[in-house]
Amino acid sequence: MRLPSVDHSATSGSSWLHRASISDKVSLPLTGFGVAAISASPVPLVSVYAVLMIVAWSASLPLARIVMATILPVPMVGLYALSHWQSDWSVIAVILAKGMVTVEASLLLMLTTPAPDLLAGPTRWLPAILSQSLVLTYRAVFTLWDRLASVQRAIQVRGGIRHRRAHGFPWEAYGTPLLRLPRVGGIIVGMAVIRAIDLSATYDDALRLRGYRGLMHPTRRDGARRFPAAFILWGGCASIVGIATAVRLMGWDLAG
Amino acid sequence: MTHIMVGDGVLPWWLSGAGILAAVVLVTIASRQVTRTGSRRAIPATGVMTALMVVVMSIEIVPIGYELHGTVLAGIILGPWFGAISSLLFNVVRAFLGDGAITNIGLNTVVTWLEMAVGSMVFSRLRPFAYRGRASLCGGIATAVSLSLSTLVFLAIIALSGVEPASAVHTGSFDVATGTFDPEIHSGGLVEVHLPGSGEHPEATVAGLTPFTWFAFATLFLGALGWAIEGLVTGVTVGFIARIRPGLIGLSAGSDGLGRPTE
Amino acid sequence: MNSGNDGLPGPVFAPVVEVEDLRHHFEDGTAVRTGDIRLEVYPGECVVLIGPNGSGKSTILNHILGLSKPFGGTVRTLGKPSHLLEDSHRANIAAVVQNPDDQLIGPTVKDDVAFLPVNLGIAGGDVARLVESSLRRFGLWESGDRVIHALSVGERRRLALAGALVLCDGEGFGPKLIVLDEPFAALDPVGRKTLTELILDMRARHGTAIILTTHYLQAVPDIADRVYLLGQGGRILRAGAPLEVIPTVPVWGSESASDATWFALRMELASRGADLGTDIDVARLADLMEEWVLTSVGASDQRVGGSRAGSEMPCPARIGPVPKGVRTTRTP
Repeated sequence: MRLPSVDHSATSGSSWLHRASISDKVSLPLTGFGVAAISASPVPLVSVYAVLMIVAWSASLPLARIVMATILPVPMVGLYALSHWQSDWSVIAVILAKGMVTVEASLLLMLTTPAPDLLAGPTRWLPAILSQSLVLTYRAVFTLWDRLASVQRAIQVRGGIRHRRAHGFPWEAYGTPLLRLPRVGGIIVGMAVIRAIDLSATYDDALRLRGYRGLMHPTRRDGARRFPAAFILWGGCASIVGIATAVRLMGWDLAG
Repeated sequence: MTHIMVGDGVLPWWLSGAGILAAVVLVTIASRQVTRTGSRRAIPATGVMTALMVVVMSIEIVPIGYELHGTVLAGIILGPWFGAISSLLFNVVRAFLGDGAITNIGLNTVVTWLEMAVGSMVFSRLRPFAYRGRASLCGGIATAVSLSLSTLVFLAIIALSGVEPASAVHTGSFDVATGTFDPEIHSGGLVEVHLPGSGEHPEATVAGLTPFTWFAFATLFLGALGWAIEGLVTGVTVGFIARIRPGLIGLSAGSDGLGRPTE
Repeated sequence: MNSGNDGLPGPVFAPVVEVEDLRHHFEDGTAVRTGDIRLEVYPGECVVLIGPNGSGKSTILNHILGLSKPFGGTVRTLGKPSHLLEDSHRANIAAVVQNPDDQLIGPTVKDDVAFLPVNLGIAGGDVARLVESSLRRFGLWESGDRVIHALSVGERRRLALAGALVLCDGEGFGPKLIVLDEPFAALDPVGRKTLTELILDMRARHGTAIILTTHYLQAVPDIADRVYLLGQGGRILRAGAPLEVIPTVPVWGSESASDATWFALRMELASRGADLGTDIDVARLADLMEEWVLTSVGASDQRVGGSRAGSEMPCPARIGPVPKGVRTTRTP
């Protein structure tokens, strides 16, 4: 999923999951990783996938986009899985399902938590070059996105790109002659690079102007722990991982 | 293209761990190199170029699920040390957006950095030719060389994921019953020959290519398409930048790779 | 105002900003050179740079802020060569660049405004107080937790101002120099009023030196002590009081012509003791002008012996047809 879409969902939502505290929402990726690490059977993985989808639905998250995001890596992951072919389709299913579950769990966290809130904690202990670059990355993505969109609009209104739909991005330019696409793509990416370099220089100036002395920490706005949400999230995590463990221990393993 | 798109819990833990360790060493060395230029300047440079890669990453060539990464372009502009940090941040952002496993961030960082570093190195070798108005060609060649090399590294990592170390092969799947990791699911090697009645494969198999080999062929075939596309776009982009802002790619005197005038 | 060269007795203050024959070259070969007229800004003084697009206004401000090194000439800020300004001086300079996106760093509104106080090591409680004060001043307190890219262009402009002026707590502290590049652009009338009041307050209460560029000439007479007019190539063509500089200059476009005419009209009226004030709107202005015209017509009728008793008065002279949508107090 594209960062602007994820960010919009995280900053504009008001569901119970959006309002839950970050400390509780961390249980979501932990659930995904835990089940992925423990399971050797597709059944628990598919079940967890479904449960997480229900959680996403309850939080009014974009289900179709989540599904697409989990499916997108399938072709390449499937290729990898086939490279381990042992005449056992369940192994393929396990490999695919592990990837889909962990992606889904991570997205649930990202779609309901604004990035500044997520960055607030790590920026205090990571080296400045990493944490603060990450903060500026977050800021810069949106500025560059706007500027890239402006360049694309400029090319479009001047006839460089044709679209079957009224609006779209250059990579959706289904009417543009093939030979023109690389040239247009090169111009767009080239302008993006130039804008990025200029932006880098202006951020450097801005840091200097604004008295930067090595401190750039987003303020943590972690909400107060809310009892129902905390119980649901941690209780759910423990239950799911526990069930996956039990399935494994009981030998309900289709992987052979 | 060279991006280990395997979910968490699939690659052997030792392989993912080695990747994380390699990434930590790489980024530590790179941090020391870049902070010599002044961390205040390094931070916006790496932050913005990472953002650029995140934005360019959204440009997807749909039929083969190939995404432009702009990693070689970033390497040409940033150089290897800024590129290493940018590579880590890029893969962190990508992993949390669902594009790549979190446990494979280390491996992906190393592979992405290789693209940047090799691309930067090849372009700098070809720079004398770029001065003669062939900047696009040089950019395309640097991209093709870099991506083909990183694809081979990627295949090597995938191959390693099935290699049996001294103990049993791990799939990364933790067996809570025994407290160990699952036994191998991969036969290893490129060619397999099975004699009738031997071990796990009682039926005779004509000496043939292993599934991994087919995977490698598929990857190289698709990869070649990707190299061509990204090489083309990168080449055109480099040519564009060479006309508008040659200093950005080191084609004019008195400016560094970040396009800032040198004193 | 205290300026060092006004000839009045009293302490003479050194200028906060001095620019003398600044020379700057761009990569594409264009050059900026301010020429013989010296640009100075004294404590408690507001100086406005005006000029056509591309005349080098922003370049001069960048030099004053120490973001560029002159190719020739001198630029001194706070008594030092500007390109040698140290970080410790930054706390005394508040700046807003032309594109607010270029200086907004923090991921959220509050984070961005808190950036300078946090980096100065100000205690957490004071940071919160300063941030709240600044955000409320610019009408952004309710947006404190919003991410910056969700703000409109005008809101980002206000945020840039809030972040730059966060240390102006209105009590006992203000920067020594405020540098603003097109601060009125994209601001709504309320925002412009807020900014104008802030500039006047900082100037009067804290003796802050202010230098800004603008195309919004309507604001200039209210805030400027001196105006510098730039021509192409950055040359300073004229310097002086607003009334001296603006009305006599060749205009650079019909838009500015109407601004200059309106400005000149206001200044002329003010010099005759008929100050229209800053809050006047079109309807009120129309009422005043109508009253004036009627008074003039009435006096004219008396001189020729005519009577204006009764309601059947001839319509006052009108320059042209009434534009659609304009409210009038009389029917045609």
